[in-house]
Amino acid sequence: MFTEPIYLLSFIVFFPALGALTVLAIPKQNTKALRFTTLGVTVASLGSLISLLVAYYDPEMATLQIPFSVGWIPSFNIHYQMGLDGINLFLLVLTGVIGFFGFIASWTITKYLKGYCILYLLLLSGLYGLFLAHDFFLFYVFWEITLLPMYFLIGVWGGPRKEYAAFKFFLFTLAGSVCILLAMLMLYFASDIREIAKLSDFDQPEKTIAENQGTPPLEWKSLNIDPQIEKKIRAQLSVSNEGTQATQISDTPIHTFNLFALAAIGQHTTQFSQPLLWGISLQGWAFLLLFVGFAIKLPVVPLHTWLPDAHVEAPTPISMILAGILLKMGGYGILRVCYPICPEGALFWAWLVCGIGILSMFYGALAALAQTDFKRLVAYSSVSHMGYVVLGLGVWSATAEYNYNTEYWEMGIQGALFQMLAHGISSAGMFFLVGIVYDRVKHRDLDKFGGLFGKMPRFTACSIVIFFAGMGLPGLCGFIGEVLVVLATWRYSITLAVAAAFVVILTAGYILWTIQRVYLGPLYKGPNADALIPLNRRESFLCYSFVVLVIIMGVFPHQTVFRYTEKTIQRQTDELGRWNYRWDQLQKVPLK
Amino acid sequence: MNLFTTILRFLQTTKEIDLPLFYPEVCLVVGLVGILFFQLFRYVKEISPFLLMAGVFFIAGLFSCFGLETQHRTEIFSGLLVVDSFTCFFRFLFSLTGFFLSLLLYLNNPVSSKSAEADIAVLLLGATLGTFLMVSTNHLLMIFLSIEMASIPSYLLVSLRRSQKRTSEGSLKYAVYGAVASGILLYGLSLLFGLFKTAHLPTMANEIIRLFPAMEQAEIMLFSIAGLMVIVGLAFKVSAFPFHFWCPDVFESASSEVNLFLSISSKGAALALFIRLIAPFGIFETSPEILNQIRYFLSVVLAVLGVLTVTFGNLAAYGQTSLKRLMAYSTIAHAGLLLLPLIVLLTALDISSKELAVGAVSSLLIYLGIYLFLNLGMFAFTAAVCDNNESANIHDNLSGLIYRQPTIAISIVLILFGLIGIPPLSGFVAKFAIFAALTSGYLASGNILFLFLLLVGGINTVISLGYYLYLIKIIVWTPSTTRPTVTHTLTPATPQTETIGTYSTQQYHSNFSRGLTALVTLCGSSTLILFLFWDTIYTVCLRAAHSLF
Repeated sequence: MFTEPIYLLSFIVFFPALGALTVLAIPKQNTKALRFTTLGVTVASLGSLISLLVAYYDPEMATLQIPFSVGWIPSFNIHYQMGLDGINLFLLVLTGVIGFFGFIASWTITKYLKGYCILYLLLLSGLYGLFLAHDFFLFYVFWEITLLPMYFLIGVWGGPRKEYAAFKFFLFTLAGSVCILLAMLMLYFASDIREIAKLSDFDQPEKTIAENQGTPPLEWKSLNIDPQIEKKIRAQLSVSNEGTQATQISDTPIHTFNLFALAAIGQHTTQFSQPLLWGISLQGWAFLLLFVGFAIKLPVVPLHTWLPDAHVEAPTPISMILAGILLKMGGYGILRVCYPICPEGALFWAWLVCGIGILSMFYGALAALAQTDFKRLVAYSSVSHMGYVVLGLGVWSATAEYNYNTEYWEMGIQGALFQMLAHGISSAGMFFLVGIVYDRVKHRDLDKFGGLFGKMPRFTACSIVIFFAGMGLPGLCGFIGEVLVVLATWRYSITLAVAAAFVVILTAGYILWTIQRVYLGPLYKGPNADALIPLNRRESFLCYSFVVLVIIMGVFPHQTVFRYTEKTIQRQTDELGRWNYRWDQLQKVPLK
Repeated sequence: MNLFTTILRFLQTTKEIDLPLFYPEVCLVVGLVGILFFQLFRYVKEISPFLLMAGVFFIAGLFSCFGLETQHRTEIFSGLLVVDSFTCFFRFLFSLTGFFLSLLLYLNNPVSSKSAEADIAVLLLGATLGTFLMVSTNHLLMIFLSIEMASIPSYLLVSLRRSQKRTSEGSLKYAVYGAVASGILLYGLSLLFGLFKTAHLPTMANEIIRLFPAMEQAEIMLFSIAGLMVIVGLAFKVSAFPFHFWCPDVFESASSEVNLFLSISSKGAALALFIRLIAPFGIFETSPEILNQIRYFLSVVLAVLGVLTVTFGNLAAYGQTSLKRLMAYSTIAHAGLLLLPLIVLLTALDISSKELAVGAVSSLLIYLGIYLFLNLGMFAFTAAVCDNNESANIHDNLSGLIYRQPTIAISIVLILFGLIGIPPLSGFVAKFAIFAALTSGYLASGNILFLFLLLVGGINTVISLGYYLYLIKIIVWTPSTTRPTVTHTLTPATPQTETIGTYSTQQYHSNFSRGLTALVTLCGSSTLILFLFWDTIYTVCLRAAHSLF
């Protein structure tokens, strides 16, 4: 009974929350019990996630795996529905890994430890839920759930300007959430799932590929529609087929929040194509609103200003979570929600998305060059790296010009996804490294550093590997994502590709300069020089783990990541490519 | 003989049809008289009138429950009142408010003498009776009578804390403004009656449809002025923007329990009355195009009112140092948001879409239902700290609360996040319902106005974040201010110095009895529970809205 999908996935989501309840029962003086319980929960949730994947995940399947759907708010067709596929798979693993590493890094937290542990676990619950949810409303709820603990984690345990940073973080994210909410409502009320039922193989398995003008029919099963909804549709459809009792059952549209159903509606029907305002269709506006909402979280220039403040003020483990997982929420949202649901909007705004990606890459790298605060530098490098993600997602080259060949775009998306994972590991590692230095010398001023190599050789070695991973050195994880994105961009626009490649030089510039300023040079004589002791066991465990992960991901990208993700991404890009073909047929674009 | 049988039949219908539907009101009246009567006897007198009042509200709530699901539209007392599920919903909501209000009064007694307690109970029961009538009114005369019935006891309730200097100012302001607003409303009502020669609302709607196309310029002018006057009268009760001036002063000077009544029952009843006035124009069969102009005029007026109210309320809340004044502006902002579904309702009648109309009304209903618990928590809190310390200063009352009263502080933080409207807290559901109504209104009608309203709603959510987060910041971050404690407590708590974390806090007096803590915690946890199970409430709201059309 407990091997049913609903129990398996709910366990993953709510296990940390249950852990938080357990922590609540531990007296606050017992710091040891608090720490070890929380650590145990993070380890157990990572472990159960991995064993779940080993037991149930099939990398050859492109559709949703272990899906389930249960009614939650029937009056708004909101369902508690989740599932796994190649897109959310590794973000979940990343959440588990960074959650575990982050708590090891939290060992130095002493202030209000109990509250910290509870909020930390609630945050993890929210993140797991966010990546697993496939109902837009549920997704939105988890999106905001992550906001509340994060606000307090930055605001209570942060640095001197923590209140300002926490408020700014909250304000920006809430503004983004409002945009997402508006787009969500528009899509919901414009959608009508009955039309999808007619187009797909719903209740008519004999419908063959040939009947469907050569394109494979929409697979109803893959949409993970709730049985209750199916019953409703069946009732209405059968009536309209017979045409006898049409008056008895009302002919009301059945709206949906199901992300896959919305995607099918966006790609196969014209429900979202009605013009909304200033000649731009509903899809166009919805894409823009959603993109802004997700881009704030990502963040991209010019909506990034909360990030450096939040990073600088947040304590080390929270910075790790923020850079490692929270930023990926934005990329995940764009990949999961924006593109499949609003292809028309995506095509319309493609130039904007790519432009913003390039702008972020440049601006982040240049700003990183100008920083004197070590942590701020890493924060701006995050902005720059997230630019690659946006660019990789945005290079829609599956157009008529290239005969709807989706190969390159698929490469870009693979690269973007890999870049998210790689950045999740390497930036969390970088923030951890900065935290180690800060814990010892109590300052982060790059101009006062230098010569750490002599005092902490092993730490320096690890740092150099992790920083080089951030720089994108071949053989380390940062390289794969960057090179795939740049290659995919070449097909879309050569100018953009050249510009993207140029950013690599800037990145090398600030990373090498940082290594030079911090680690090399004469022996450190700045403030608190005596405190520079070698790594303890806890710190070295984390450092080595990061190094190992960075190398493994860099050397075996296919075996570790692509093998599991490529089928899903291929399916999504193929669908979008076919949509583009149909769209061009409608618009009468000549075939080349 | 003929006259005799007519009277007999009239009495019979009154007894068999009208009275059973009127039981909740009857219950309030009986309770009202009973509480007064009990004061005459020695032993019965010892029972707290507040507990008796809670009992009365409980029974009234039970009576209203019966019709919640299935009550069809029935006109009673020869068309003066109308009872449907919508009426029952509001009766239930107000009984619930009254019940919690009585508990709050019992737990945190704001007056010292027993007879004053009975006075408060009687006045509250009377005012609630007025709100009951407001939501079931079907007649111009009843509009005025019920509004006055609800208002006059509120004027007295506001002035109960006579010991305070500020109180007289607030209560005088309220009474004077209220009298003027009532006068304007009455003027408008009599103009309407003069124009259409009937006071029965559905009949009047028919008359308007019949007469409006042939009306002269002057008559149309008169009609719109009359309509505006009625809107002014109601906007005063809702505390919509240019008619809100009484609200902050009254909220500051009155006791928190009265504030709760004003913010939920009084405003809710006025909004319900708005719907009662609009709904008769939704007779879908008879050519609604004639009324499009009127509806358009109304929706523009309401949109201007709503947008100004919500924006002004949120912006003005920033400047406040008194927690009670801040809450007053917060209720103004929420009232502004509550005006927006009315515009969707008008549009729905325009395009004859019943689904849209039901969605709009039910969004308003669920908002009020959820808002009740959020406000109850906040005002229970201000009752315990502000009223008893005779200072509503935000810093004095809130700073370092998390170290002094962790349970209460967490509940209040949840409630504040709920007021912003962030999932997973109930306030989000309310906001979601309103936004959903606006969006569906836009997609159904294509009116750009709704996009603008959505934008305003979204921006205001972000604006309101500032001051609610400011309160949260003070609760969680700021260490307690040390101030000599005011000894004005019923359950004496010894001042103590406690060291938690790095802060050493001299306890500023916050007198939470166990019951009050339970009440605030209940409200705090209700924000989460209502979010998980809002489908149940929403179904009830849908039923109530369905019975209107």
